[in-house]
Amino acid sequence: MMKRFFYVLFLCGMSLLSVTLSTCGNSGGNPEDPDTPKDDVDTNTNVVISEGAINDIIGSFSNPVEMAALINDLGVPFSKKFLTPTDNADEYDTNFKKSIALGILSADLGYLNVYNKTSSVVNYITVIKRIADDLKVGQFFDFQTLKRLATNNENLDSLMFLSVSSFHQMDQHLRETKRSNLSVLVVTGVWLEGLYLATQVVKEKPNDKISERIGEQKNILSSLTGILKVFSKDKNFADLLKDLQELQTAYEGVKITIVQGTPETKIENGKVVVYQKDVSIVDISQEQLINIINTTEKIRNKLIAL
Amino acid sequence: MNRIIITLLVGFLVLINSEESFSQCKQQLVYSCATQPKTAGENPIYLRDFNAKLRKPKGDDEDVARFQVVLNKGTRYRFNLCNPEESEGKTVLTLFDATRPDNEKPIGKGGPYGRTCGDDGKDYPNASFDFQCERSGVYYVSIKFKKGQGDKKSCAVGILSFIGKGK
Repeated sequence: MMKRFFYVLFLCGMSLLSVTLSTCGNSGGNPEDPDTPKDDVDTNTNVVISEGAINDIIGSFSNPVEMAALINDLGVPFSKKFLTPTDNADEYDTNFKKSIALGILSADLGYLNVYNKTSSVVNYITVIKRIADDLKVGQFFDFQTLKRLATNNENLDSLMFLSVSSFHQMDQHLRETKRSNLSVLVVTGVWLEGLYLATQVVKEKPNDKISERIGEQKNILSSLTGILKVFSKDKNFADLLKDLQELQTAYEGVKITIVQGTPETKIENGKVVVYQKDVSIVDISQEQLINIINTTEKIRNKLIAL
Repeated sequence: MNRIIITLLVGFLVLINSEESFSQCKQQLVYSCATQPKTAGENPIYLRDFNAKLRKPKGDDEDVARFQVVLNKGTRYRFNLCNPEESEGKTVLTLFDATRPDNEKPIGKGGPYGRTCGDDGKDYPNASFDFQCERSGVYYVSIKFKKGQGDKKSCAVGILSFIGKGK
């Protein structure tokens, strides 16, 4: 009797231990979960960069707000025509299309939030929620609270926080559940829509600061194509990579020169401010800029029409 | 035999409990840290958070949480750090890269770009500093206990906000 009890206890213990260990390695969820949607994209790729390295890179530049914040900070007025229409969201019928769309629409939501266009926010969060549910990351998108904040036009800081942190949690969950391939697509969508917004602003009215920011995206684009190559055995990824390589060609002549300086710390209005003092010179010609604007527009419009 | 069984059970419970309680900060702390009262004339925009779980340091072996972040030229960013009550003032957030590494040296004298506390270890107001970025690229953020302050495991959350193009 005692032997049997001890044996059962041992089995329970081992099960608990294995659950604990598996949770440590994968805090975001179980990749074998039957509820996790089967990807239409090939995950059986020969990964030459470690997953941790990929995740670090992806996580470092996925921000759905910053380009819009810069555009707003420079006093550029809001323009609804830059946004991706939400009417054809039902046509995003594969995980590939859904992931790209999640990124693009999240960047548009960031643009709307930065300009406090709360009346249009509800439309975007409705579509984002639907896509996020399809990708099994909808649990991180608090639709009801976001809708209440947007509808009542109240506490806009909370609306911004919740929108951005929901995006990061969804993206992180994809990576933690071994769906880095989809996360790469989300991040590509965010980045491309940010670039699209910037290029459309400059197309309408030249702006040196934004042109410079567009030129600096050369390095990000290089990282992005490097990651997409890892998954390029899949035809969808290969096509996307080909498009972004065309954009890389448009960026070829853009030169970025860095001169190092020594950072200085100052106290301003009781706040500690560090001035970097490095000098970065972005050399981008008008012809190169036009080429980048046109190529970005072509790729982005192709992706939202998939 | 009973003693062995009880010891085994207690052992498993301790193991499970310690793994569960060693975790990131709760979303409530992230929220309050990201939506702190604003200074007049400023409108910081939350960009992302760095939620760090920190083990109790063993001797000189300190636990450091590191994150990559891309920052852009011509933009002023704000970094601020928040802790749960039990570890308030005990952690530090550092901004660095390969050219300005995460070390003990002062800012501008071979040290990193910025820290949320001064060289004397005292936190800056709101455990925060602004960084006027002049070179777009990949930077790193580390969060760790200040020297000799990590008496037990805890968590800390850093917030990155967009301040504007700077002056």
